[in-house]
Amino acid sequence: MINRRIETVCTALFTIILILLNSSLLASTEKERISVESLGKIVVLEEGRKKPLDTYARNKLIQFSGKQKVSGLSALQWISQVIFNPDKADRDLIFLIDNPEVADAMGISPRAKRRYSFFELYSASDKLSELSNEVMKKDASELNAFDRVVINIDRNLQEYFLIRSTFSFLEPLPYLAVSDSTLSQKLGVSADQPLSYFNLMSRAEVITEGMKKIQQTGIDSLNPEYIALLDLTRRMYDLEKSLENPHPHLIPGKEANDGQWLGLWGLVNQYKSAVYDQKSLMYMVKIRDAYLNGDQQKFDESVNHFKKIARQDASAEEKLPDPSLELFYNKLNPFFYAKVLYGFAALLSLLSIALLWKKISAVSFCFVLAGVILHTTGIISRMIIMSHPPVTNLYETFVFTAWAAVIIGIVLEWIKLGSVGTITAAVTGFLFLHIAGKYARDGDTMGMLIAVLNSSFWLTTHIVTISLGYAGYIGAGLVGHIYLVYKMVKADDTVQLQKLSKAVNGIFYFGLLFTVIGTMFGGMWADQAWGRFWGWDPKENGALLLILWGLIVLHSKSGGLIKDTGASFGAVIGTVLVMSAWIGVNLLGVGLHSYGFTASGALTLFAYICAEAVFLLASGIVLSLKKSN
Amino acid sequence: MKLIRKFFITAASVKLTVFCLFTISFLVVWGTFYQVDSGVYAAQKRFFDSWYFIIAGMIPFPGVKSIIAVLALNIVASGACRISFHPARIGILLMHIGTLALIAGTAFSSFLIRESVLILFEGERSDVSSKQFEWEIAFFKKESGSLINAGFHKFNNLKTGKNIPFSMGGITVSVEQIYSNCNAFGTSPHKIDSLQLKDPDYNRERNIPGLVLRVNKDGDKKKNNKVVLYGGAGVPALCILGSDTLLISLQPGHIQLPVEIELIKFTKEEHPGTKTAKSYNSRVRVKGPELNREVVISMNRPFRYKTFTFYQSSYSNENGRTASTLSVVDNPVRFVPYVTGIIIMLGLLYHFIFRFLHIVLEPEQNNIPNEKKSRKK
Repeated sequence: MINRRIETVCTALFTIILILLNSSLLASTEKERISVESLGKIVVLEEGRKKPLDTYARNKLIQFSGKQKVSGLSALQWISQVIFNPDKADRDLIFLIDNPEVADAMGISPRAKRRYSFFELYSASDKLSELSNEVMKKDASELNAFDRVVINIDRNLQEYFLIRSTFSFLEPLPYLAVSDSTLSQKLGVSADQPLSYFNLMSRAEVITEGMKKIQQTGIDSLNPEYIALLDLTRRMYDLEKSLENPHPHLIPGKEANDGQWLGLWGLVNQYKSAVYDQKSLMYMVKIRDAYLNGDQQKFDESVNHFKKIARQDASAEEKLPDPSLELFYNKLNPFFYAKVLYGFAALLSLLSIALLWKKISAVSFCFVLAGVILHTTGIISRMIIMSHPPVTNLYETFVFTAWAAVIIGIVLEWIKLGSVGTITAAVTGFLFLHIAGKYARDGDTMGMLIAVLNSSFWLTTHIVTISLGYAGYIGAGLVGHIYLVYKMVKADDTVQLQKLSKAVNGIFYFGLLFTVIGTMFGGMWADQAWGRFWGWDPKENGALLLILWGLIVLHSKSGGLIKDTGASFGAVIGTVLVMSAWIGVNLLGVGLHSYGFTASGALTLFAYICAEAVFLLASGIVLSLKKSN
Repeated sequence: MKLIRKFFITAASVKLTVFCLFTISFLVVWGTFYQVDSGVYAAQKRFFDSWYFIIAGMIPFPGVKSIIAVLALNIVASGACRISFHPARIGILLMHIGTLALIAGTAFSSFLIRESVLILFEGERSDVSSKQFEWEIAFFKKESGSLINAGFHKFNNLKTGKNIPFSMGGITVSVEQIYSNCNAFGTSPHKIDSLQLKDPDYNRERNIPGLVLRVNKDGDKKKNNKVVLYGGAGVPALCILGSDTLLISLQPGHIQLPVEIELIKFTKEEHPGTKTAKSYNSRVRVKGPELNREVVISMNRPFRYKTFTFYQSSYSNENGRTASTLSVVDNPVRFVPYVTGIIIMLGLLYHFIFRFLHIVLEPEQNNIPNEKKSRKK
């Protein structure tokens, strides 16, 4: 009977996972008129790195909305719409305003989902510029949460506007209309009719001829036609300047062009009337036409031609990377699905404890293994794509620490500590991948490293070891929680309590070991980069505090000042200290480790510390009451 | 003898270890929060580089230095009382020896380390670097068109009302007033008339000191020449004493380098299409008694010569010219944290591996000690 129940539960869970895994693949066929998959393979340059357009789209969507999908559209489908059909995309709710006061100040009614369309924000742009001007007057150190949100929205709105303007040289604009009838006749256009920049560029000869005549005549004796021509060229110039070379930079840098990558407007500005000879631009126009007409075959053909031209055009140093691994990584979305698997594993482990279905814990362990395979694939893929060690920013520290904590859990399972190992792996994996998701806006974009971090050796030795130390403390803290709860519930099961206590001590020591090694390596790196081994910087103090705490617990235990329960309390406090050293220190915003500064997470950290304090207090009271009884 | 023994036993107490560790932790947390308002330097001075500090205007509280000293004593005493050479304890022994060596080495090196900066524009050369936070007063005497160095004196050693030991015969220089941070008023940088005291800034670089001196020469009719010096003046003050002309300057302290450094080219490499710096590097020519060659100094790749290390620190642009800032550290015991760190790491690793193997190889014995104990009973 129980076996059948287990079977039913597991089948249901597997079905849910399969649906989740397939949802991203199904989405592409449901929501769009044509598949834009081939477009995702075009290589662009963003933040100093050549990457597929698919990654660029994800980065932008994460930056704007904190999500990788919008209204059921994948990031690639969304950006295709923004580039090719911006009027439609303008109504998508993509701009995250996570401070309702900012929405109030902009005069838009706060929405529960906290996301707004370009259309809504554009109508409030006057108020936004007013707010933004006020914020700009402040010194960076004076900025508060409200100001940072204003800066973010302003920047995002501008970036979106530039992306949506990719093909604006094809759009007829009233701004470029010609009112003078003689000039319009010469240009072969109707007077007062909106004209596109591209349209005018095709009449460049007439314009150049006119300008030559103006030079000959002199500026003082101009007739209305030439005045209109001067006015038109000024408007064209202003337009060129406002859209000098916006992203996405799709056209590889050429030697003649100092290797600078160009967007479509950049190409138009660079080649002026000769732009008609630029095949890459012509193919992009064809891609747009095919997209708007829903012509799949023409779309794919034009994309392939464009990619071919881009590869040919790229200078020797600009050799374009093969985007297939990155596309695979994007499609796999490994950390999200690893989180889902860890989540299910955690649920199953808790079920197995609560309902005493021991066989479920084996299934739960399988979920952990599946999760760790995805998790490892994700980390390795990022390392290959970026040619960097696994940890380079705050987001990646969470991803890597989660992975290390899961491995610790698996080792615990291996040395037969019951289901404690699975629970440790599942819970830490789930929680830390979830926290990583909160920092994805800043860290999941695979950006380039600043000069001081640009050292694979020290990144590997210092940051990786410190992250392993954090993982150890967190793992010990989690088992410490389990120990305390178990002791409250089953104080007479000394064998299990002994096992748990040994696990707490072992993992805690592992944490201390790697924190010490990581801190020592950090000192050596600081000596190499800044000329001093130790400078009492907040980040250094955070690591020192963890070491001191580890030593306090270990000396107290070995000196008989505390026993197993005390050590578990110590391990739980250790996790609080890890979170404070990890996130809390970055919130202070002082010191040399400025690349890790963040303004988010203060409230969550405070809530977490309070929750741990309540837990420790409650378990302290319960255990002492039990002891006295 | 009994008393010494008792002292050692008390000093070796684990309770003392835990107390010291707790107190340092407390000071580290306090000092870290203190940095938010007062800066790293102030926190360092008050908490980490001090033997004690005063709280609430009257209560002395031990600084990190004193606690570390007690901790060192605690480690020595524990070693004396509880030392044993069992294989299981080798790791612990190594860790404690490493920690002691680290404490001793850090204490020793704090007297020896000299930090300074060398700012060079492309094409410029120098064999002198300037200290960032230490000032000195420099005297030069003008003699038949050339300047003769008449001595340097550390600003921190000056005392109000005292004379400065001066090498030129017949001239006495006394300190009338010292300003650790001030504003200057006058008609030109050469002619500063008065100084106004300012509150010290927590950012050490922003503190510009000032001095008021009285300079006299035996037999000179004009007594008590008042000289006002300001650290931010950029030019020396002129002091004419009869036939003697003195140039006095309040300037950042200097360090004589063992080599001459010439900046050939400074390069800032950016990630393509961004303003994010990928690397900074300075190509310099190093000329010394034993070498004359070009060297590239970049982030994470310093240049070392004898006890001196040159680091790429930052750069600046002035009137279209680029200046590279190199940090210069003279540390004769640079290897101390490396060696002691490695000893501590080895000790930790040995202990961890020993314990881990113990658990893995004898799981049964390790997992059920209580049962065995109860059976024995």
